[in-house]
Amino acid sequence: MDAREEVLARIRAALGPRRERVEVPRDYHRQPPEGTDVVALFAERVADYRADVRRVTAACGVADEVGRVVRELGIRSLVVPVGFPDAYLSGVDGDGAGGRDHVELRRDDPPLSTAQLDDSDAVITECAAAVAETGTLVLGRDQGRRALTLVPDRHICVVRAERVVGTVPQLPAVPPPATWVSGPSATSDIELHRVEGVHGPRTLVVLVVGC
Amino acid sequence: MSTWLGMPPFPEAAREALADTQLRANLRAATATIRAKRAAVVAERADWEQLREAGRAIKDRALRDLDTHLLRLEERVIAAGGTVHWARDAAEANRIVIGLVDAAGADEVVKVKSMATQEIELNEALAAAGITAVETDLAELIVQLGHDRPSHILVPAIHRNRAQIRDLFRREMPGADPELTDDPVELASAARAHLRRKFLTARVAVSGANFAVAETGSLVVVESEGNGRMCLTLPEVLISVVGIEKVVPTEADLEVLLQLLPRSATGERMNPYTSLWRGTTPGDGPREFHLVLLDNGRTTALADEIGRDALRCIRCSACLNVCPVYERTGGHAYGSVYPGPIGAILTPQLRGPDPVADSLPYASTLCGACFDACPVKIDIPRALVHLRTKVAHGAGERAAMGVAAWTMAGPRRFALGRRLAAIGVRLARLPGPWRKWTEARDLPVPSGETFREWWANREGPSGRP
Repeated sequence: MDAREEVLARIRAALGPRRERVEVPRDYHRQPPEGTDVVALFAERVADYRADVRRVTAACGVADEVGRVVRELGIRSLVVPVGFPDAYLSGVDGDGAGGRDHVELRRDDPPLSTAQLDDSDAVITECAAAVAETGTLVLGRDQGRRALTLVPDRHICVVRAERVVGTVPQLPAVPPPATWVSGPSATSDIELHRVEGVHGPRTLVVLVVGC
Repeated sequence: MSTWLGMPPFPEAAREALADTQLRANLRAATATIRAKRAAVVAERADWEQLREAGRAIKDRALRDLDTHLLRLEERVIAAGGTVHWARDAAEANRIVIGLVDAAGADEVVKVKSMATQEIELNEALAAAGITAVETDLAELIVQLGHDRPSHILVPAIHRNRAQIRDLFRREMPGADPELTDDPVELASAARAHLRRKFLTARVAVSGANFAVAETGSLVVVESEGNGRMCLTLPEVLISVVGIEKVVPTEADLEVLLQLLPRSATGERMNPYTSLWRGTTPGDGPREFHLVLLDNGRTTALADEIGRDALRCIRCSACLNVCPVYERTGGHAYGSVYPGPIGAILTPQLRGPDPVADSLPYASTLCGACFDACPVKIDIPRALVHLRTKVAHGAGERAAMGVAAWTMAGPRRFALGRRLAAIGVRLARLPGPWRKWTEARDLPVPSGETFREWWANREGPSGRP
C-alpha cells in the first residue's frame, strides 16, 4: 500500500462506518452594529495599526493627495501595477525629465525584476475590498502580482469607499492568489511588544476616497 | 536547533525551569501582556461565543469526513498546477522534502515558521542531507541563532528578553552592528537587513499552512512580519508541509477561523498579513508548488473519540497564555514542540507512550482556564483526564490503590488507616515503588484530629454530643 492509500485507510478505520453529521451554526454577526459608519470605522481601525490614513472626499482629489504623499515621503521611484488608474497619477511629476520633483514611474510591464523592486522607493495599488471592523485591505490579482506590494519599503493603497464592507463575513470572494493586509509589517516576537516594520513594507499609507 | 530527543519527563524538567528566575520573570511579563490584549479584542465581539461554536463545528465537520475533504483538496491542488504528496510519518515527510530540494538543485531553503516542520524535525533532517534551512520568522531566527529550542507555539523566543536577544544578535548574526541596542525596533531592523539577501536569492521555500480549503484547493498562511509572504512569493519552488487535520471544507469557513485565530493568538483584530494561494499562478509566485500531507500520529488521535478533539487545534496558543502551569515552567519543560495545555494532550497522542509523553497529562491542575480560552472549544481538562487513564500505571501504584480500597471498605480498618496515615505523611516523599506518586504531588498534611474524632467529641447545641 502506498502512503496515500495507507493514510486514507487509517482515517477510514479511525472514523468507522457510521459518521455523525455536523451542522455548522452560522448565527455569528454578518452585519456591523446598526448605525456604524463603515468608512469612518475602517479609517480608524487602519490608523490603529499605525498606518498613515488620509481621507479624500471626491475622486478628483485623489491625484493631488497621491502627489502630496509622494513628495512628503521623498519618493523618487514608484512601482505601478498593470491596470492601476492613470488618472490617480496625474499629480505625480512622472514626465518631467529629471526635474527636482521628478518621480520615476516603474510600470510592471514587462515584469520588473526582484532587484528593481528592492531598489524602488514605493508601490501604489488599489484594493479589491476592505474590512472596516478589522482594518483589513484585500489585494487580489487585479492589484498586480504579490511581490509588488511586498518588496518595496512603502505601500500606498487607494481605497474607494464603495469597496469597504463592515465585517469579515461580508467580504466578496477574491480569487487567489490574494493577500489580506492589516497595517504595516509588524512583529510581536520581542517581549510581545508590537514593532512595526520587519520584512514587508514598513510604511503603509491608505487613501480613503469618498464617504 | 537542538532536538527534543532525550528530554527529561515534565516533573524533572519543571523543577529546573522553576529555579530560573529570569525565565519566570520573562514569562510572567509576556503572558500577562498577551492575556490583556486578547481579553480586550475578544470583548469587542458580542458574538464571540457564536464564533467559537461555529469554529468548533467547522473543525469537527472537517474531521468527521477527513478522507473526503483530503481527496477533494488533492484534486483541486492538482487541477491548479500543484503536486500532492502523502507522508505516513516524519521520516517519510522529510525524505519527500529532501528529494524535492535536491531535484531543484538547491542547498539552502528559506523557511516560514511552521509547527508541522518542527514536529518532524525537518531542519535536522535537511542538515544531515547537506541542506541549510534558514528560519525567517524573527523569533525562530532568535531560537536558531541561539542553538536553542522554541518555548511557545506563537512566540517561540518568549523565554528571552530584549537584552538577551541583543547579546545573541551581536554574537551570532553575521555583520551585526556591535553597537546594536536592545530597542526592539533596532533589533527588528537588524533581522530585516540580515534576511533580505536570503529572500531575494532563495530558490526553494518551505512552509506549513494554517488552513487548507478542500472546496477550492486554497492554502492559507497567517503571519505578521512579511517573511511568510517573501517565502511564499519570491522563490521558484514552494513546498508546504501540512498536517492532514488542517483541511477545512469550504471557503466560508475562513470567515470564522480568520476572526478567531488572530484575536486568540496575538490579541489583534487581524494579523498584518494573510496569504491565500492555490497551486501555481503563471507570472505570480513560484513556478512549482508541492503540498506534503502529513499524518505522523494524527490518525491515531482521530481514532480516539475524546482525544480527537485535540485535532481541532488551530495553534493560536491562547491556552498557553492562560495556563498557570505554563506561566511558571515555560515551554521547554514540556519536552515537546507543542507545549502548554494543548501540548499535554497532543504530544502523547502524536508521539505514543514514552516517559515524557506519559508525564504530560499530569502537567496540569485541571483548572479549566484553557478550555475557556480555546477558540475552537477543545475541552482540554476532559482530554487530560481521559489520557491519564490511558497512561500505564506501575505495579506499585496499582498495589497502593488496592490496599487503599481494602482499608476504606471496613470502618475499623479505615479508622486505623487514618491514624497511620497521619504518621505516614510526615514523609514528604513516599519510599520505594510509591516514589513515583509523590514525584509531582505534595502529600496533604492531615489535621491532628480526624473528622470522626471531632464528631465523637463535639458538643451539640444542648451541650451533649
